[in-house]
Amino acid sequence: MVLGIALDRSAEAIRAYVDEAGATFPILIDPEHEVARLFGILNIPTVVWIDEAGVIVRPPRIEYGTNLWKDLTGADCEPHLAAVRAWARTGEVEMSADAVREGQVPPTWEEQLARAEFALGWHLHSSGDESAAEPHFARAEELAPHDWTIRRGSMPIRGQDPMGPGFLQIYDEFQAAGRPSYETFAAERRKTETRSGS
Amino acid sequence: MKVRVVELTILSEGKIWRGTAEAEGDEVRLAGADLEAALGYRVEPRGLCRGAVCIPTAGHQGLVRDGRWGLRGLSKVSGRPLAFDRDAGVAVLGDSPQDQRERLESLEAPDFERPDLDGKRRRLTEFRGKKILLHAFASW
Repeated sequence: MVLGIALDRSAEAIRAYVDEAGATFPILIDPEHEVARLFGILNIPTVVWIDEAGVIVRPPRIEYGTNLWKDLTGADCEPHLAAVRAWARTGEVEMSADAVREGQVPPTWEEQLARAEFALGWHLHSSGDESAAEPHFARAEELAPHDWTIRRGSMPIRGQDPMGPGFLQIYDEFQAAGRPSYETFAAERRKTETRSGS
Repeated sequence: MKVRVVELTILSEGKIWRGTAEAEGDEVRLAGADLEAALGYRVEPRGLCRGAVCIPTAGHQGLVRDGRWGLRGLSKVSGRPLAFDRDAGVAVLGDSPQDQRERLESLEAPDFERPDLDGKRRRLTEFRGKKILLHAFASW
């Protein structure tokens, strides 16, 4: 089954998308980014495979449900969809447990603090204190500029257009950094550890 | 520095606690019983304990004063990041990078509870026994 997690302010914020897609699977709303915190989610759309026993058998990865954005992202949805079908039918998974472990992104202190600042910002905002919330969103963004769930995800909350100049800025930085993915971060951080001998 | 009694809200691991604490400058301190209620740490001779795991507190000056435990001090000894808004009286104690890494590498899907589109609260473990494609998306 698919379990949708909407990193959005409210059910109202996504209802139109859900209706248009005709989604029949359960969708849970996560304005606090609790699921993002627990699973180490940094961008959307992110997919994690969880087996019948509650074991993660594929770490967070960007995967699309359709090829609607293929020209922009260069990502083809088909290999993943084929792998999902095979997994559903036969239980066959592509990654060993060790590969899944190594494919997880070890978080940095800054990312963890950014998540806490975002949660604080959201709490203040949803309590009606928008001006108190703003510096915490700004701080979270500074700490983890590559975390799209924070940087772009906070835009609608902060009254910014998530398709506007702020988005173009993130996109330019993302391009300049070589379009880093979960795979890039996982590999980079593990390489740093090997070098430092830990 | 002047010590004031303040109202405090603490968010940690998806839970929320409201009570009072003592603020002094940049630090805010909780009574031992409140520390346990808010964050699950029991004050023991070995240190601050949750389950079988204890954070040694010996030698950490300023962590405890007059039987009250400072959140900044706790953040330091536990490695857990603290986001704190003094004026609003709200603190979020996050997960340490080490704890989060261990959680991710355990490959055990952490449980959570969130509302669905109709406002009904659902847990991940409700769906245990099925293969789950967790799909995080957003309107932005």
